[in-house]
Amino acid sequence: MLGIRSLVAPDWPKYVPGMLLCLVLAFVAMNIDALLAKYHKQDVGLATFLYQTLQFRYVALLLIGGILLRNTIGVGRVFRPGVSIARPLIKPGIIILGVHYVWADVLKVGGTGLILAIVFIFGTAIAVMALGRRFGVGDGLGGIMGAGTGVCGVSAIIATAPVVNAKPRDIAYAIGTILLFGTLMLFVMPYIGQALDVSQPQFGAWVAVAILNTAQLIAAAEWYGEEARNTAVLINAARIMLIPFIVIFAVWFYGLKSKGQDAPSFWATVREKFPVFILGFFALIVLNSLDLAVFGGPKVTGSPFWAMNTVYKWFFAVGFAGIGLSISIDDMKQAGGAAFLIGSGAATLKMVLGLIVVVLVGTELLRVSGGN
Amino acid sequence: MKLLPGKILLAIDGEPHTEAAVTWALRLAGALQTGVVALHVADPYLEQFADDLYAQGRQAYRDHLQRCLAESAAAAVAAFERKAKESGVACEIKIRDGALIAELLSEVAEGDYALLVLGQRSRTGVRLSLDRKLSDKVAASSPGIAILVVPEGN
Repeated sequence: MLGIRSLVAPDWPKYVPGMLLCLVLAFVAMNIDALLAKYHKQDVGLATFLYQTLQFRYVALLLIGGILLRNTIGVGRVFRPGVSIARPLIKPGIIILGVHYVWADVLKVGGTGLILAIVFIFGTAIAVMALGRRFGVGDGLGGIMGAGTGVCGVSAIIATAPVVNAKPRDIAYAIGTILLFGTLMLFVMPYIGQALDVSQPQFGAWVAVAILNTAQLIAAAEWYGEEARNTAVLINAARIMLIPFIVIFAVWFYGLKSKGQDAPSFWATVREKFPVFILGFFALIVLNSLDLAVFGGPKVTGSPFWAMNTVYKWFFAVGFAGIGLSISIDDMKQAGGAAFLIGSGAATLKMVLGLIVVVLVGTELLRVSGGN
Repeated sequence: MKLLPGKILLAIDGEPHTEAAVTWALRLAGALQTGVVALHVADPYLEQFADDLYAQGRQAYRDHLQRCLAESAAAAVAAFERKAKESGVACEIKIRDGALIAELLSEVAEGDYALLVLGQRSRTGVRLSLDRKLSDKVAASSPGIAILVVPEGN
């Protein structure tokens, strides 16, 4: 009994209202999605317009609904702790998605994605940090913007800020800018992709290199379609593993000028900044690649992997509800100063160059087969 | 006889644009023979982002923010104390932790203040139309008289 108690956060009741709110929103959105899909198949005009033309899937419903709620009637204090822990539920969803891949996918798509990620992440980080220094931007702001525009947006800013001793105002500017452009791209890129007839795997790779915030890129890819999501999640896995290396690069680039600190060692940084949960994702890829009858597969009805594949969408839905309810226009209004100029330039350039590169790479190198 | 029915509450943050408000509030307090309560709010607003999806090194980030908030409070208080000493006005310093607007308004509601003085940066271009400054919001919500001081030439 004591052992079980030690696993439960002592203040767990404070998370219940917000988590329930996200669950209710997820339930409503998933059912509207299913109803629209059903009536769209029956050629009901309004359903086809909403589902096919406007792409009103559960992702869009949850994000737009959450944003509207947060920025109109607001999210009460009682709901906030639960909403904040709903967002990380995307993580178990990502781990479960490991059953969609085999090692051949990791080598082909992940390998291509890793090259794209390295080029775009380090290309952006080097360019932003070097240009920042050239134009007199402080090391703190230059460091967090280089990391933030290079990889994983806010996550990278969190990892880098203490290392480069960024000032709170610069952090606020940087986070505001990253959230502003991430939100714009999340809603704009799926429509651009459709208008330009970008294939699903290409779209997945495009958002994985262009959208700065991880949760937002996964939402955009899931919105575009299953193949887009599979490619985006795999390339994103390669991308987030680079967070520690971006921090190490920032430490080296700025010669760690933060006061009173010694430069952290290479391995200490890797250990502290490595996203450990991604190992669960790769563990499931290994199991899926072994093709063991006991686990079945995502398409083998009634098998363990099929069951896991069925529930991943619920993790995503609750997480997306949390993301929507967390997107505050006031947070984005913090965007400003040099961070806004750097962020807007880097985000636009990455979006355009990313599109050109994925079009040149082609669909096949980016398509996930998933094995059986 | 007191010329003002309460003290002056002055918000301090150590920013250059607040200096004009500090000077102005101290002069006014001297002229009206009242005291000044300088309030610094340490706003942990940025801590919420430590829960970002893939954030690593969350504790190091939180520690960094705490250190910055403490340094910022110490700098704001030191800058105010220098000016207050020169002015000879009776002053008290308070530090509150929490959301800036909420804490300022709580202090206004809890204390015996006749006037709230805030510094304000000038606004230009896009930000003017997009944003309402914090000081505007506090002034609009304050139950008493609030005065915004914009430095000359700003």
